[in-house]
Amino acid sequence: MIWKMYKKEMTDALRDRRTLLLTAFLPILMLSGLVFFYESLLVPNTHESYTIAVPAALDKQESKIFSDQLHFTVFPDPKEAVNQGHAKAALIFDGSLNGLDHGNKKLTATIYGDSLSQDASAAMTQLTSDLERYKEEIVAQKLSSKDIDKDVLNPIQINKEELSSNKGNAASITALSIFLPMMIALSIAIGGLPAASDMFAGEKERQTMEALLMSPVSRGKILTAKWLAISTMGVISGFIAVAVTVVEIMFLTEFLKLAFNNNDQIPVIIGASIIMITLFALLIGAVLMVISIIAKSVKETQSYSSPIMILPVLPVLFLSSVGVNELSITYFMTPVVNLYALIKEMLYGIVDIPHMLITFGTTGLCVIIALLLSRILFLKDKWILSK
Amino acid sequence: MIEVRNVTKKFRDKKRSVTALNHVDFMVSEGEVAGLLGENGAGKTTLLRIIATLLQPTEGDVHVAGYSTIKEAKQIKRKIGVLFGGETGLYDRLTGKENLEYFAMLYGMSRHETKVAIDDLAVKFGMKDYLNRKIGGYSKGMRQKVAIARTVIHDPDIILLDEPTTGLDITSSNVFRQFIHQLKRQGKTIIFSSHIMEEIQMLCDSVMMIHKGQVVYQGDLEQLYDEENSKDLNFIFMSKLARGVSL
Repeated sequence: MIWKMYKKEMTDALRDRRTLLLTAFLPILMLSGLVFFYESLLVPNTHESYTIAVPAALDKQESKIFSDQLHFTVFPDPKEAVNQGHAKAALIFDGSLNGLDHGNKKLTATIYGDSLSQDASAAMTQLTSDLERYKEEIVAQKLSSKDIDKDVLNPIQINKEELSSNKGNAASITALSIFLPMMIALSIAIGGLPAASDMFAGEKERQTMEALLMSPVSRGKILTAKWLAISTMGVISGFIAVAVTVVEIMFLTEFLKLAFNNNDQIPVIIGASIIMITLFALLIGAVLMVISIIAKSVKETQSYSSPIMILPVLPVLFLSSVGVNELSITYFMTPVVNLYALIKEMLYGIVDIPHMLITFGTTGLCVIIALLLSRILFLKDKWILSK
Repeated sequence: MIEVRNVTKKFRDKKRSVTALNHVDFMVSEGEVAGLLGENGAGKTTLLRIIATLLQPTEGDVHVAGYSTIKEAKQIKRKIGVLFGGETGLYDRLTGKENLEYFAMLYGMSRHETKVAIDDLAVKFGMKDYLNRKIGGYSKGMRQKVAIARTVIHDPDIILLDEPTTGLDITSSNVFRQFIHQLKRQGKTIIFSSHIMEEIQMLCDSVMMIHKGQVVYQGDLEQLYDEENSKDLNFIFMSKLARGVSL
């Protein structure tokens, strides 16, 4: 009986254009946009060129100091040129750069720019770096002319050694460890919502719920069939999210795909992801079901569900700055957060079975609690009969 | 067949308690077609929901076909068919046939039984031409016919109809009335709520008038005409409400 009811619910849900739009097309659109956004964050700015406003043209020798990325343009008021958006930064000297080679002891260079702008900040950093390098050259020349070793100015040499085994792809993994679980969680929630709101609040509105409850089928069976159908829509949406993400990353990105390099745990990751997506969809399905039972209309379900849609994004705040070796057991015991924690670990090539079991166990426990709550509500006439 | 004994139903709001039914008593015998008359909010739908086992009474008890609505709801559900007013209770994205098949399945009917029942109802209601189309594209009358077919697909002994002809055009209403006559001939027990007095006069053996949760009259229609010295049910109904007394 449950199987036949489930089949009918799935047929009904899959014939709904709104459900299809939110389950399939919206995740694909969102994912495509986000894949390219995260890729753009990883692309180094080597090919970018910036206009720098200067009060007077630089001569050939002065120009050699600066990288090719910087193009100097003369403006009567360089600061104003930056404010007007004609240049990314302005550079003003209180003397001549060449003068430093000819006996001048000091020169002040002032860089103007809006450091809140990514491009302006990059231009200012490049200017500072080029000037610092030139400053070191001048100092070295002057010390050398007086037979003094330039290292006298650097008594301590600082070396940094990267211990992470993911030196080449750390940035890609970090980006993907935030992006991938967020998209899975969001897609599951968005995919399950139309079906959930339609199967309870919608049925109350259309009075099909009364007709259904008048049949001799137990409310437990009705609830189970609907929950499985809502969760299936979430699972479909979640798998579409993963499939689209992986395909787009592998074929359309240069830097994000580095996250998958040197990861020999792919089969385990796939297996764990299937379990995780299914469990998370069952959890979100049960939570959405509770909301839809409480709501009097489809519109009300959507209003109540808004916080649920924010929930999958919240762990980003807690986990984006946490290193993979700092993931304590609390992260794996906290629902939704554990999805992020587990995917992050797996992307770093770590397969920790106890962490997986804790994640599956706590999510499963939450599924049972949400399901029990929905059952209690569904058995009460107050919540399921229209006025 | 249907026995309602001293039934009271109270709904608790956040701040107050509303009495929808107040010590209601009545009986409908096997094969009887009883009309239920009352203004909006009088308690008709609550009463039908209690008989249909969808709601439990706060006080009193209801027996349908010898079963208690509280303790033996499942047995009652197999024996009754219910059509509530307002929406037709059909799935828009399924075809008329799929809707009927789904409800037949819920009532445990076999494929063969379902096919025979659908073919029979399709002929009776003239639905053959559109039964394979999705309900979303149906007119109000077409929907109502499928909803009625859904109500009787499992051949129930007792049928509860809450304003079933609301929104139907004249032709569809007539088809429906003929169907009620047919059910009556088959010996089905029917409770029929309606605003249309002519319909009650035409179809019902007895009438029940309900006002503010209380039954103000229950009895044979002919007896009522004699007592009130009038055959104008509308006039009788209005005068009874004005008097607000139970006979």
